[in-house]
Amino acid sequence: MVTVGNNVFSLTHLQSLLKYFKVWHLILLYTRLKDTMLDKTPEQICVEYIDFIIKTIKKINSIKNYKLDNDDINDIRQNVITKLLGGGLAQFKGLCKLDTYIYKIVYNEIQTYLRRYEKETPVPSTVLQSNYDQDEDDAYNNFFDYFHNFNIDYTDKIFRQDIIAIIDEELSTFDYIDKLIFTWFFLCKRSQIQIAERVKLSQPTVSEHIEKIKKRLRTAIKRKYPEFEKELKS
Amino acid sequence: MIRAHLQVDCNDEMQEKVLGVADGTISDEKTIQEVLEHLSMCKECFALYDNYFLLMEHPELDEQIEDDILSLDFNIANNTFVPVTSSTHIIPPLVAVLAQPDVPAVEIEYPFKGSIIKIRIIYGTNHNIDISIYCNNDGIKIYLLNGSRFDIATVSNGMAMFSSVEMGVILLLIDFKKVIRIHINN
Repeated sequence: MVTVGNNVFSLTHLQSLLKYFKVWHLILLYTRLKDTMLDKTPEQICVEYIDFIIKTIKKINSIKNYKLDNDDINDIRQNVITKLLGGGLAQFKGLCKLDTYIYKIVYNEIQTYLRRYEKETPVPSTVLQSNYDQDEDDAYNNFFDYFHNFNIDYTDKIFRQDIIAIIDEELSTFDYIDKLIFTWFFLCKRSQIQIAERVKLSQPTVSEHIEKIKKRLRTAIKRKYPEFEKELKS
Repeated sequence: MIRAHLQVDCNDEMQEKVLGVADGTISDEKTIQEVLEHLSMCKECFALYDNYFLLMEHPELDEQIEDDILSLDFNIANNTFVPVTSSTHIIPPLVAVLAQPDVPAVEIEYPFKGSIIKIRIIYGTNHNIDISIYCNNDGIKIYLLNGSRFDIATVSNGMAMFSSVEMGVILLLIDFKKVIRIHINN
């Protein structure tokens, strides 16, 4: 007989209670695993993926030139782990690989962190820097280099806005593949091979799309400014 | 401003689908087209998708990025903790102040915030271990992750402790600033 407070339990009573708690623990564990579509607990996943989490934060920081320091990285790591342990994995539906899903959590946490602390906007300094983080007007300047043989006076705001309006209007008639290829090639400066991987097409097909896009935009500009026919690259 | 994207709302499932196309889990043509169409409208998902590829396109960064996790591996043999690889953080057994004789124990020293954290691991009952952390800075939070366990202990009177920890891979996060991974094979 065992006395707990005012209660007296027999040994068999205690054993059956213990058995009940073990079964209950297993049911709870099963429910957590079932909900997350995973065969591991969130704790196990954190232990297993801690290197991946840290490397992904640092890699994104390096590629995007976010200038996060060690304290920022530690804070983001804490947020990611808190999210993973706090039910973040319960949303996982198995539509992508687990490490890709963790990348998503890391990426979103970095974006939230940057917004929350109004971190410096990324400075384009390396070839890895993507242009869509910059002001889109700057991207427009890069883009227009493909089409003209003369120097545009960018201080001429009316002309500049007019060209942008022409591009915008023409862009709105593109199908989604051409919109994506336009963005990646002209604004983000991705290579044709990089774009091919992203849109799941071959590189020659991407090249054909790019030529078609150039032709359409040239035609649209010529329609408004026929006097620039010679200056627009063929 | 060139408006390549419209601003559309997207949910967690769509983001997962976007990444499923990126990493090749989704190969169904219809879903791929649905995702690409979504990318042409959603700036957030476009950035998520493009960045995934940027990460994959630069594997050389994996090697350049310094690993700031202290990893220690031990086997338990002949009633002692045997380090698999030597580390300056492991205190030689002769120096270590062991709790009891004949009980496998190991001590680890690790610099943190200008002082030293001492971690003492003692082989306990039922093939579990007890981990004691000694530190001068009261209030430091130590997080333990292991199997299905997530525990927090706060250093009070120079000490924090985790009892009956399962062997295997144990992760200790010191104030979420430093990570120590201890792998104990029985």
